[in-house]
Amino acid sequence: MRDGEPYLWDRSGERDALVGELEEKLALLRHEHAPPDWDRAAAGEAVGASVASRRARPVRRMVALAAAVVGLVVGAAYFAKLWESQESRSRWRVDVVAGTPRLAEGRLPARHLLSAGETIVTHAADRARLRLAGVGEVELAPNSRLRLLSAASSGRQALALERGTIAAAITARPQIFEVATPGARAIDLGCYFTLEVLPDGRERLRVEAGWVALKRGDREAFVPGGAAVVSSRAELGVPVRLAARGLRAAVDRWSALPAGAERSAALGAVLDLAERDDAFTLWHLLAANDGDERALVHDRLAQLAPPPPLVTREGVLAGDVAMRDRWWQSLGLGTAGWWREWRVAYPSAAAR
Amino acid sequence: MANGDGVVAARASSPAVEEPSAVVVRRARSGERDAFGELYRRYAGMVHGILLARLPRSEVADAAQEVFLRALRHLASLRDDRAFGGWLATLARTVATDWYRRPQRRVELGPLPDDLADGRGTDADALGLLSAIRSLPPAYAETLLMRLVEGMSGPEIAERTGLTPESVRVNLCRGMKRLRSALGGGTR
Repeated sequence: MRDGEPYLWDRSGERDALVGELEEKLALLRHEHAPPDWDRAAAGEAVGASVASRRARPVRRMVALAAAVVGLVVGAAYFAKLWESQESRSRWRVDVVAGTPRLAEGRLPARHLLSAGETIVTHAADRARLRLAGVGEVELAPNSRLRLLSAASSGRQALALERGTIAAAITARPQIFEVATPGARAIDLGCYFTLEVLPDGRERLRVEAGWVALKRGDREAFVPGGAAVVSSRAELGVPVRLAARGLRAAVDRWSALPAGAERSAALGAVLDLAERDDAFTLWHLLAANDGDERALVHDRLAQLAPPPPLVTREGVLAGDVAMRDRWWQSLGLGTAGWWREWRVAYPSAAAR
Repeated sequence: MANGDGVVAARASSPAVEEPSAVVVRRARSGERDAFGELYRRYAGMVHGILLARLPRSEVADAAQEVFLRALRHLASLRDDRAFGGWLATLARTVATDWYRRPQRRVELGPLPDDLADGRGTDADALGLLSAIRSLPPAYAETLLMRLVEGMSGPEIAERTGLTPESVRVNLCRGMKRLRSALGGGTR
């Protein structure tokens, strides 16, 4: 048993320094809510309003009606005020970090609240920071151009990175925040990430923690913390662990080659270098290849992470998405299901 | 003696010994409200941990309440009293899933910022750590949140969730290993 595990298990043995520190810091989030009123909760369904109203006398009904009208008016005013205050704190606020970032339309006012369609531009010495309560923070690096696509009232936050680099720390629930680039859409699944649109048209996404989903046409990629993906103008990249340098170089080489024998050989090098922790990389290569090459990827992935029941070689080679998803779920990385649920919930956004 | 009187007598004579949860479930099903309060006391941490792994923090309190209210209403459908913990855990996951299936609610009622969620204020470190734990596979995240946030021990997590102690141990150890790696050996 590893040192510190007894403490993690039941606080016996020597105190594990990191576990102890986590306990102290996270205690702030502990459940401290009072229990519901069980009697009222249970009675809420049992005591029918119709029974009570049948017994009420007409005068009491009139008083109750008047009280209800007053309540409605007061309630409407309250919710109007609440809505107004929600609106005022639901817009991205832009702060200057360095230099003189500008709006494409002109000067950037202090603590500017960004409107849909507005673009922030930075030059060599400029940096800007965008903050939105409940969503997170985006820092715009020098030589970048970032546009706000959607109104905050839509409930989703979409930015367009036309060029340059952003670093995003997103605290909103998954799928609320996304960044469109010339080549893809990066949908935040709760994380910290850096996204770059390079001058040569390539796009590089590096995820520090959490997950980001990338979408281009009918291709999609899920990038976990500690991984990066480089996409070219022509195709969506394949995510690779940052720590797997050799594999990253092999994937870069494979993706830069046109279809043919050389590319097949490069794929072989990728498969040779892949380890169990790289199963997610191979999973993405299933969709990025077809024919004999997909079969090679399948066989190597099956060695590293055997497919679960009901996932057949024939089905995967035929491009069965449901089987591919089941295999993903068996990798222990989380489910791909939310992605498809999201497409059902937001068909118009998904089609954009 | 398995009847209700015997159980009450046993509780009265040895208050320090915790009544088996299956017995409390049976009492709750028979209509004893204090028994349901006792179940809430025992299981709120587990439910909170499961929801915290899946929902914005500002939504967790309401969702936890919804879980227990659903449990109260549907307790009669539970066939095996000993399976209450696992049943409640599944209910919590269902409530979390349902929350994400309500696009109207998401649009109209955005969550409060995490640092305003319950008026207690929140250390930025805690939110960063929460984010790191949420990035782990759900089984690891849930178990670690029960242990590190709710203060439950491994045996207690096993007893509450209905998982085997070995499964809980595996979730804790593997989750912690990944978390250590993600944090680079420290929280700063």
